[in-house]
Amino acid sequence: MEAAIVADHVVFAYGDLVAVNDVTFEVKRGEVLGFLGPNGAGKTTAVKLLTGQLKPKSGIARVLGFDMAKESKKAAAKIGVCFEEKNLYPRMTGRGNLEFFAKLFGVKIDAEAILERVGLGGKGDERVENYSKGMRQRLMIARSLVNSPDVFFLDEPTDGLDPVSSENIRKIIREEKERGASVLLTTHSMVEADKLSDRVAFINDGRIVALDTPENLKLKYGKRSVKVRPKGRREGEELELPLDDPRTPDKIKAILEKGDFDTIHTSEATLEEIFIKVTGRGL
Amino acid sequence: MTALIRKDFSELFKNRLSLVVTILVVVMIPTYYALMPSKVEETLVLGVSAPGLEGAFAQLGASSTALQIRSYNGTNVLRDAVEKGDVSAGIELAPDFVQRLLLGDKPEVNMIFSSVVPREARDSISALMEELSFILAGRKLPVTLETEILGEDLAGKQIAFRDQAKPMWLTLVLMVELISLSFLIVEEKQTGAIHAILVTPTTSAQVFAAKTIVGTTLASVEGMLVLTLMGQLPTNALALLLTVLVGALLATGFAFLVSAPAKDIMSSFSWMMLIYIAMLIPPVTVIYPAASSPVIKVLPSYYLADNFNKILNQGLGLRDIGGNLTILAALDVVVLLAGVTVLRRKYQ
Repeated sequence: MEAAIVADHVVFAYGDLVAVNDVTFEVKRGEVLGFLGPNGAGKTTAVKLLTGQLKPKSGIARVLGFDMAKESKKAAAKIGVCFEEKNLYPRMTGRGNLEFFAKLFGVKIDAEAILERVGLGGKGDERVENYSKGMRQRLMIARSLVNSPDVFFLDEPTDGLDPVSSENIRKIIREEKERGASVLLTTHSMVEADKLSDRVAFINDGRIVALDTPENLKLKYGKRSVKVRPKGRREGEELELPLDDPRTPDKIKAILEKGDFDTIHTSEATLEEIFIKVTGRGL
Repeated sequence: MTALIRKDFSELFKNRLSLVVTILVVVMIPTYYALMPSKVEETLVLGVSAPGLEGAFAQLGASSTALQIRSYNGTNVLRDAVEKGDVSAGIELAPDFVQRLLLGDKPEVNMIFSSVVPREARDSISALMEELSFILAGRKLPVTLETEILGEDLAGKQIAFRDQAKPMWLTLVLMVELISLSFLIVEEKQTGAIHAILVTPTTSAQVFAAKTIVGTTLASVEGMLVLTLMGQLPTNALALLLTVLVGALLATGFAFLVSAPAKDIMSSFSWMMLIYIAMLIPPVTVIYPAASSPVIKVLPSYYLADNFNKILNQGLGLRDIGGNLTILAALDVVVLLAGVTVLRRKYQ
């Protein structure tokens, strides 16, 4: 079965500025791919190409088997997009926004159920202009759900949300993944990407510089070591024992037998550290 | 597309600024039209202070339908009447005027004009006084005047300024409606809502079709409403409806054009002003034909204003405006296509 999202050597430039440079990746059905990169790296342009808003200069962007440069409207019925900008109709109610977009998709919806799902139950009759930033963000997610998509493009889906609401949105993304939907998750948050993504792609200067599961990336780029904080020492004064050193198992055994430690744990690189290592710049 | 049309109408009416502008235009233009004089004052009213000659002047006034003479007793009263605008001019004659005239003297006649009386009116009143002096001195004019009117004699049925200005009012009504549509488009661009629509199965052609229907309907309804309130609709209703429709379509095309470069409501307003200034030049030349130049015909609103003038002021019908309608329809297509092309690029 073909992957839900396919970018095949996609190139796009704004004039002389190459925004997406020979990008190739795919997102399988039921997979969440974290798309990580700093501002101006080409994430948004890549999403625009994959949603048919822009046409590639070369290469092919395919979603659900449709060439998005030519057949984007055929795929659109099964795509849900949550933009980073809160592009809602502020003078409409929350329910009005959902029902309007449902009509554009030609589907009938239970707006209250969708609102309830994103934590906006009972707020559907209020005008969006009276919503808080977090409520608008939840409505953005709700809007991306109206057509029960097979493919989601989610740009910073938990932006501006409190921890509880963020967790609720993550739960929804996991539920949609379990339903079989594919998700391209664009985010700055490495923690979020780590929590939600089956694989992550690092994009920098329009190119994908790394693409793998978070675990593999950590193994590949991170240090394999165990950190031990002996009793009486402060945080940051840990001993670091490399796992590849043949003497390390004996050292750990000795420490455990003596019990002379406060903490002992494996040391894994964060995605952010790996990103910096790979690209030479932070997010 | 029905959902898009309903949404656009709903958004337009929820936007207070658009709503206020629409209501103001519909209410104010017919009100202003109703308050303006409906007839051209063709009678010249002269005030005269001429002791002993009141009878002669009254006789003179009675002999003409275009001249009305009012007698005043004394200079101050006459001056007051001129200043208040009760009379167009005042003629003050000394008590010994006739005596001195008969003796061959040159008695003084004091002509009093308000500062608002134009120079040509002053000159013609002065000429009239010279003619009167001849008659009062018992002489006859050394010439016989014959008057010939070329074409229909419009004496007594001159077109009032408010009616001459109808093409301008109606062009203004149609063009003002581009404010509402432009605000809607710019707001959707600014919030990015248009991108959300374009990632659904809705095509940009459907978006433009819906906006064209909404903009044209709104401007047409507003134009027809203003015409009805001005009491103009019974005059060649079909010709008017067609002219209003093509005019509304033109306004819609301009709304697309001005919305493309506009980043926000204010910049959209600035672009609109350029369109207004250009589009309101031809209707002004309809009021003052002497100021018109053939170059004016490059502006689409010329054909719109000319049609309104032909239908509403000259009583012409569909057959007489067909040429203008065709040109205007062709210009509509050009403006609409240009608007759609530049705006579609901005949607990306």
